Amino acid sequence: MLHHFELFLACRYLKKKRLAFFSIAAVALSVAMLIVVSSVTGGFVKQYRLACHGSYGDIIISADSLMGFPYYDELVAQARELDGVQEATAVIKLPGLLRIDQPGRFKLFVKGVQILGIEPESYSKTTEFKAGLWKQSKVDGPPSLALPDKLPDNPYLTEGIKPKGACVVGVEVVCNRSSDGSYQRKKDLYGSPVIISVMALKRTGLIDVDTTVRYPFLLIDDFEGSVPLITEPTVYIPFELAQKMSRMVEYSDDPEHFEPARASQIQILAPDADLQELKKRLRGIWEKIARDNNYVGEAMVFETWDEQEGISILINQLEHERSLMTVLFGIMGVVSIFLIFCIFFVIVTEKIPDIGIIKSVGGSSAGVGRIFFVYAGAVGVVGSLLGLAMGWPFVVHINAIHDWVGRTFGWKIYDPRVLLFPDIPNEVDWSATMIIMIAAVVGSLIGSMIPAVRAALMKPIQALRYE
Amino acid sequence: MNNTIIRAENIVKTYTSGPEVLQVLRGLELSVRPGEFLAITGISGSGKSTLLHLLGLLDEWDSGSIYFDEQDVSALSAGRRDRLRNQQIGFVFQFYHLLPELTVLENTMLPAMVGNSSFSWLGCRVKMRRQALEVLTQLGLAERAKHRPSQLSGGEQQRTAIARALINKPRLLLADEPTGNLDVDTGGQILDLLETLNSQHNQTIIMVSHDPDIANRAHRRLHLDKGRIHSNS
Repeated sequence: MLHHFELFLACRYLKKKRLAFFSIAAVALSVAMLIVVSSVTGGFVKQYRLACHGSYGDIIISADSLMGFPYYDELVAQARELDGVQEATAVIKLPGLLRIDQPGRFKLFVKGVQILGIEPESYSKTTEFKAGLWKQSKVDGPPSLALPDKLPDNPYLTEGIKPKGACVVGVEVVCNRSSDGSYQRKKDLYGSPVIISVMALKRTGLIDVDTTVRYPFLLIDDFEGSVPLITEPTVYIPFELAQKMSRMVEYSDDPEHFEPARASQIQILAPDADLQELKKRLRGIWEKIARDNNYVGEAMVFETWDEQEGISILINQLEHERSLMTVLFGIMGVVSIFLIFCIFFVIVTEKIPDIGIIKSVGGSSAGVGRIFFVYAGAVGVVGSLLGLAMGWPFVVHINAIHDWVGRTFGWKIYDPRVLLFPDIPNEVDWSATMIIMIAAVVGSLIGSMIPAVRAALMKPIQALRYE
Repeated sequence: MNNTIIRAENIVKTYTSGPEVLQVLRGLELSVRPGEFLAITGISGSGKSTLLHLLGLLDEWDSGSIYFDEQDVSALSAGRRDRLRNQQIGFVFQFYHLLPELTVLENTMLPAMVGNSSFSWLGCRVKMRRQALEVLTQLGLAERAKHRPSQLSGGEQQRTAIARALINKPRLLLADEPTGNLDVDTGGQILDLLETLNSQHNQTIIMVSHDPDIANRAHRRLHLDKGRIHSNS
């Protein structure tokens, strides 16, 4: 049970001892620094998660093979009937080449890309595809990959190059990124023809060396995903054309041999569902479809969006880096604990006569020790609150501060071209902040432990005679 | 034998400093009745202050016993000794020993704060404040209640220390050279005050002093020499 004099003297020392202000400043700076580091690194992890999640549905079903899998339409239809599933969409994925050749305008441009065949309406309901489109995000209604009724007036749209359909390119495929993180678009490119080539696969899984599938498309828009570096450069084309180019359309070379159309992937939106449970149910549905159709094919992979190999590795790495940064900066917090120890050692030495007086009027050893514990706790609490008062606005205004530092001193620390997001995350991570503040108070108590015990164990007569 | 407030029996106290052993008290015997004003004299280093600290339970003795109200205090736990010191014994030191961060009023209330938990203090705070102001008024310090020790004269600081010693209405007041740091006039005022406390409030006082003239103000005088008490009068 605390006695009144312990609280009273701890508060009085806190107010009157200027030396304690250095302890408070050390705690405040450590807390502020850790709030900033933890919030910014945590913000990056959160942004990556959100961005990655936005690029996919909640569950991805894919064949572990470039050949894709059949009966995808049955699986999509049955998935849509499940509780918690809001949308499902089939996707074709295949490697290809994008070629732009417009002499006089753009020099010859050929780039290896990932072709995504999508049904724009269902795909944009399942992912954040529409929100990332440069032009169509501003238009009501679902996005489209259909050719316009009237082709644009473009000198490169000749008789020889009649587009089969429209396409959307990932913005990083054709645009450079400026230092502020925005893309410099070549506006003449939109409405121009591009050539997409893919290697056709036979049903045997071998490359059909005699046939190169090469379709002209009209480039109508670009897509700015949130995490371009973790996704391959992508070109979006209509599902049916991708299916045709990849030879995944239904196939029959004789009436007794029929192979159904295929897809590479199904993405499912089920934001409120238990994804692990939903995965099991989808697997059950697939197994029944395969059984009913006597299909024994490729191994199927059922994953949540964050279980995908590239994403889970990246997020794990980021979380580890965040922990590492917090620990490294936390080590600097340990320096504050040592500083508190030194300062409290000096304070206790200075207060030895007071300790003698307090014991002479009946103060117990434990009570004397608690004065310095409460004092250190108060230093921790005040330091933490001051640290919060510094760290919180710093995080919230970190981009403005960064801009000001850049303008004034020419220091530009954050490069959005490298770190992918245009701005530094500026939301305070409150759960981490609470842990940091509690740790600061505990650290202050630890720092004061030896001086407080020394004060408690001091014999009253030694303390009274101390000079 | 039963009519004593404090009694020391065969007290031995030794100080050791490296190879040197100094026996300050050698089988000291002392008994003090309630209401007595006792002075103990002796030359510097004779062990007067040591004796006072032992009687006030501020220090440990090597052998012998001290009885407070005929209860052997060596059998008490540290907590009960602290309580006894807080409730029954008041100290006045030569160098006042006031807490510099506290006002006169707060210094006076310190023993009352020590004796109360945070909760019980809420209930008695107003009463203790009133009581402290009454004591300060009696000692002529009411106007100085909000001053800090550094703003007071030596006499005022010593009166503040007396007020602090009296706040819990202790049965025994121990004064260690209470005038040793004061000029003659101010020291005389402090002695007048102690005499008044003894005569009007029947306050038991044990005062140590090296000065026989100061000791003469007490009712009974004892002399400490070679670690033992010798009666003076």
